Amino acid sequence: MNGKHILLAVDGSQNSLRAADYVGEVVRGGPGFHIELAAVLVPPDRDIFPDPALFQAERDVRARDAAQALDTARQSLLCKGVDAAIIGTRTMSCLDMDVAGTILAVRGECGCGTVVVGRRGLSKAEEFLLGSISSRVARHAKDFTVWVVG
Amino acid sequence: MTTVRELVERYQAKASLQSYGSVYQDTTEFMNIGNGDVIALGGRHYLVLRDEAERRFGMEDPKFWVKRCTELESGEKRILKLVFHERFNMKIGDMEVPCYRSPEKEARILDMTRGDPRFMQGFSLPDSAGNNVRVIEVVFGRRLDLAVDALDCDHPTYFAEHFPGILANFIDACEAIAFLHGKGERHGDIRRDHLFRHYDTGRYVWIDFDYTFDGSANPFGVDVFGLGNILLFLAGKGIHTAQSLAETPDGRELLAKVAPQDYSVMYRYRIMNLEKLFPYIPRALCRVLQHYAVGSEVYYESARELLDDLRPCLDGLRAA
Repeated sequence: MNGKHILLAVDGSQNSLRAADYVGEVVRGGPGFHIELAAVLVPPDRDIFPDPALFQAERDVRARDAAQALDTARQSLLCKGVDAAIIGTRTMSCLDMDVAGTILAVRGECGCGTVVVGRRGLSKAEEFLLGSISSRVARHAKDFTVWVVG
Repeated sequence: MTTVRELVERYQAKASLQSYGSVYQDTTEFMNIGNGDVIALGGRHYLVLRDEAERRFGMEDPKFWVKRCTELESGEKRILKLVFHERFNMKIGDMEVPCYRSPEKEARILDMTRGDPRFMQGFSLPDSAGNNVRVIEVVFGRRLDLAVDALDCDHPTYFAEHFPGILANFIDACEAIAFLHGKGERHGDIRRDHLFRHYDTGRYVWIDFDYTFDGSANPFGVDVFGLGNILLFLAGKGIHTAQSLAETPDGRELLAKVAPQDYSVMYRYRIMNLEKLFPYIPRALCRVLQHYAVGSEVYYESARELLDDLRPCLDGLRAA
């Protein structure tokens, strides 16, 4: 597993931007790196948006947000001096309502040896109920490295 | 041909109806449908007796979209749940989780669990306006928490004589939730008043599946939290809080041993570490409960994980 092949998961939040900045600092100018920027597209729940028109509108908003998150993170990396040629981008649809599981699945697909995620800084109660993507990724890590940027 | 009036008279004592109501094929305006009205649906007729209500914290909370009915063709009692797309915040401890009422979700789970005695039974069909109406069989049972409350014995006796059987049934109920999760569905509103003990079989039966919420980072977290709360109630034969312990000298003595990390991560007054209160509760079971405590570093992510820890507890109790 190549630790210099980095999967950077972004969602447009301040935490994921911090993660992008950090990766930019570490990688810039270094040889052999590849950064795969990935945004997880979480489709709206049909039960919450029973009206097909509202469902589609929300779906479109989320797709735009994901594209925006990728673009912002890419710009951040470029600003840090990372070579555009080593940056890939992809949008992935969330599998089985599980964002962390989707990130892990994509990591397996692209063979990245490092996964980088931002940390939201949840309270214990929030983590219990809402779940922490960074904790779940770290918990299920095997044969690769996880950087959690807080 | 039998008229609706004749059907009403066949199955309903005239004295119990103030007047003959209207026949509704469109249930959109559910607030207008009340005692004496008839809902015509799928070739059947449902005489409305009253709106259902939930009794919580000593208050009756009417549910105007849920009608207790008699099916006039059979005389059977049925509950009709009409469409009410509600959005609200579910308060859990200090947190508020945005929640949604989804008839479609409940209808899907009714289809998925048809014939499964661990779930309330029923079916759904559209009314004349396309509203998804769920026709539910009344569960012939008693709320589990009330059944446990009614056991007239002290905790050591309860724990030794009743709890192993209760835990076995509760594990079965957790399996039912794990089954839903395996199908990508959530119960959505796991509370102890949504679990019934069937009068005939003694099995536990889940009711009410229409809540849902947005939870892509931890899709089953709210359900897993609900299961822990019920387990705490069952193991402790009630919920034990700092306030309730402080009421007696013995309680105050126990309370002195309770540390901040022993309380629920969501409800900071509920004691999760029952080992401090009932030292004869096996450590393995206390450890399961402590996954819901402030002191825990790792929380259950699924009902399956909870079950993996809970089954050995039952084996241990049976072997003891």
